[in-house]
Amino acid sequence: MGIEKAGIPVVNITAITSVSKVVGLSRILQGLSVSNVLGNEKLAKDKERSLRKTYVMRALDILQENIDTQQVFTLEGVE
Amino acid sequence: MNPKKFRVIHYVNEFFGQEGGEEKADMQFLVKEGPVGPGLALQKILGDRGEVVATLICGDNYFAEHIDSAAEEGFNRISSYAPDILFAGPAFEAGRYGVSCGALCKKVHDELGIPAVTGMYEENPGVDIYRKDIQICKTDRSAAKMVQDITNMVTLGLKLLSDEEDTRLVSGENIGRPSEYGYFPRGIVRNEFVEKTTAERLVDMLVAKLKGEPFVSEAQMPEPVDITPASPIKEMGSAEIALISDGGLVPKGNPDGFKMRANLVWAGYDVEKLFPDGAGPGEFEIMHPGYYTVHVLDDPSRLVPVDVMRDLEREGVIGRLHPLFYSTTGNAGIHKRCQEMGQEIAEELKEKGIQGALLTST
Amino acid sequence: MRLQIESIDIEDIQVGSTTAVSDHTLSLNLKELEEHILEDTRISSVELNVVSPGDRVRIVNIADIIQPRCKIDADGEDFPGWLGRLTTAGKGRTRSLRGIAVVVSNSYATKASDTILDMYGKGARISKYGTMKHLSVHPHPSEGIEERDFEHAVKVAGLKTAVYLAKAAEGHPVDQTEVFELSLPDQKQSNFPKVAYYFMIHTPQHDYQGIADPILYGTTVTNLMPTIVHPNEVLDGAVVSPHTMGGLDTYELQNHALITELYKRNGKDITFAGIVTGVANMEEVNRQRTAMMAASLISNVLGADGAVLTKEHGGMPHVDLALVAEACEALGIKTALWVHLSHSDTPLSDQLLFSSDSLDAIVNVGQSLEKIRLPKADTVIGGGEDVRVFYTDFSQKVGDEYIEIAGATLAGAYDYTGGSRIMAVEY
Repeated sequence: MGIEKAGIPVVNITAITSVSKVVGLSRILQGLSVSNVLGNEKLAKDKERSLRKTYVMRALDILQENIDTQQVFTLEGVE
Repeated sequence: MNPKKFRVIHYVNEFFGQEGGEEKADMQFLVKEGPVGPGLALQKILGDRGEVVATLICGDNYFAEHIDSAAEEGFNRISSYAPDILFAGPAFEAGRYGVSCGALCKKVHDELGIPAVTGMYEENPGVDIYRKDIQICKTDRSAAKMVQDITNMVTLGLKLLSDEEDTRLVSGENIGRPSEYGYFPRGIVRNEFVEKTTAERLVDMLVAKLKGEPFVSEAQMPEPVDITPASPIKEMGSAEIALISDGGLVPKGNPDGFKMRANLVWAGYDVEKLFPDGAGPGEFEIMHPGYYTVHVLDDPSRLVPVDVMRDLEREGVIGRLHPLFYSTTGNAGIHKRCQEMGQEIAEELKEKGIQGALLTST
Repeated sequence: MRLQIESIDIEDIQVGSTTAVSDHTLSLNLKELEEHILEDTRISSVELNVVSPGDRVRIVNIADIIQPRCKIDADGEDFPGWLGRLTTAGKGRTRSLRGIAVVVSNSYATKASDTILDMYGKGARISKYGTMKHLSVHPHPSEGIEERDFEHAVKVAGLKTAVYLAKAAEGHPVDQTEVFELSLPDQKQSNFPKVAYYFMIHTPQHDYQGIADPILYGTTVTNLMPTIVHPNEVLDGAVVSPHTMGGLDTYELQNHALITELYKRNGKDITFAGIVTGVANMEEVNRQRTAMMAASLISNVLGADGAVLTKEHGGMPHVDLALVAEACEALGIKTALWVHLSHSDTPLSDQLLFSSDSLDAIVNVGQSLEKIRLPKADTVIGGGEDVRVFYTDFSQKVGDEYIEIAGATLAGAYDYTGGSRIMAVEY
């Protein structure tokens, strides 16, 4: 994607990682649901926010990780 | 009924225009009445169906060194001839010539809406640049088979000029199949009426695959994309991070006119206005029909995690949350425009000194 | 299970004092039908119109198109779970009227996915419904009826009308009898490869307001675990189209082109091994679970050698479908699947949304969003001339001199059960 070419790292948080893979994004983080990618409407608001924070912190970690090829990450590790 | 005799303009470079060799590559535009050089073969092949009313000649260097303005100038020189069609080249393997032909054809086609046909060898750099915009016939490497190459260009040109509806295409467009008319596939898709139903074709294909017989898939996998990941952020604690999303979140009223399908626009929006701190969601809507938006409408942080990013900024985990959030709609997007938008957003981020971004997608 | 469909061709519709079919002409007592529809108190009034091919009529706000059919057996239930009591669809005898359809419109819900139908010009030429006669049913809601409730009422009105018309042909000579018989437990060993069909029946991403429509025996299928259905159930009214999802009509399900093709080839070059049905999912983990369970049913329960896989709308389900296919291939089942495309100016390979070496057999239903240009009608039914039609936005009205719409917005042009003769090709 253009942003990577400009030298700025991006993490794509998405519910459908295979599309991101095909488009050629290099740092991909598996998100939750298509209609709620950084949340879970079944949880209480504070628990949901906590879950969101976990995902965002994971994304920030990935921004600091050195990778040399496309990588799909999950909350726990890598795919 | 007498078929109309088409008014034809032919574009050639300094060499084919018989002005000289490489030493004349800097020459400017010149218009000669009637056909010149290979234009004579063009006229002969056209016969009664068309008249080469003028030949536009230009030096390869002059054109290739200022492509856009040269294309504009060339167009201006010939538009008064009220042409029905433009033939350019063929350029064979010559790169500057190919690029000039492509640029002129695109300009004339865009401005006048008339067919513009050129011919190039497959390795000519003009092919990849212009194949999507105009039809480029496949030619030999050299001018050895020029008459055949020009014949193909004329055949295609006459097809494009024909006002008969092409009954093979659902759209009725008269564009001719690349394989039948010998031009480079343009990377576009059109629906054709075919004999067998989708169901029949599907079962046929599976039966062939099960028998180990050859079959031709109607779609191939995409080529793997070559990506070099950007370097990681070294100092997150002082980094400015931007949030981007293609989930179609926009201020109420959709001020920048995002379309729900085949969207062409992106925009940066003030984070404070769209996501006021602690005051509940701001005034926004979602321009994206491809997912049900109920949960995000209820809490936009589920798509654009402003709430936790603010926490992380306060905690010093990140240096700063960029004050603009970048939004677009990524539904059934037009590939080329998506790539352009990516580049435009990249320029914006670079200009603003942003070190990293989170892109959230549905 | 054995289903016998007895078809009668209708050549003309006349408005008259009784509803009956005689000499291939349907006589219609509109008042009686109106009263029948108004038995549902959710509907306050209904407009009924007969249209014929060539009429300069445009039907808009189409919620569904249904072929007139009814069970002939005394214990048969029409559209079980919707009109009839719950009983297995797909057995016994069903009467079907050909050359005619019920087109039901809902002008009270404006969705991007509504379809239209032109009975003249290019629209009629491209659509399979362009050569049929139609009874347009356009109900109006009673006061205080909630939008979703009215959608149900609209669907019921359409199905009831379809049954009412079919019943009118009782006693009329049958033009064609077709038998659909498949007994999986009794299938003998044969030389032909066993081919199963993975039928992705729904994707939740377009659910209006996030609420699913009841489509299988009157119930919703959100998070449906992959399950086995008999092909006859699909053909005989167990499955209806969602309330408004442009481009898939109950008519097409009743005539499911791929199922009828598999039946046709059964015993000729394949052995039809049955159907596994499943849905697309919004969450990755559910998507993977569906793929795994569906592949296992196809391999370990149906014992298939090969599978054909299909999907309906949306881009996301390409991913779901590809996962099921890959899971099948990993178990040694050869697959062929179909996709639909959504862009005219992007190469085919960039539109697949998945990439896998094992999925080398792909067929396409066409680029169903390719635009078509249609001239205005003299008469609009199912709504007024100011009804908006969607093509990237809602700026066009159906009464405009010309409209440009996606092919999928024209009912009957593209067919997600595989019945149209259209293929998207690279140019």
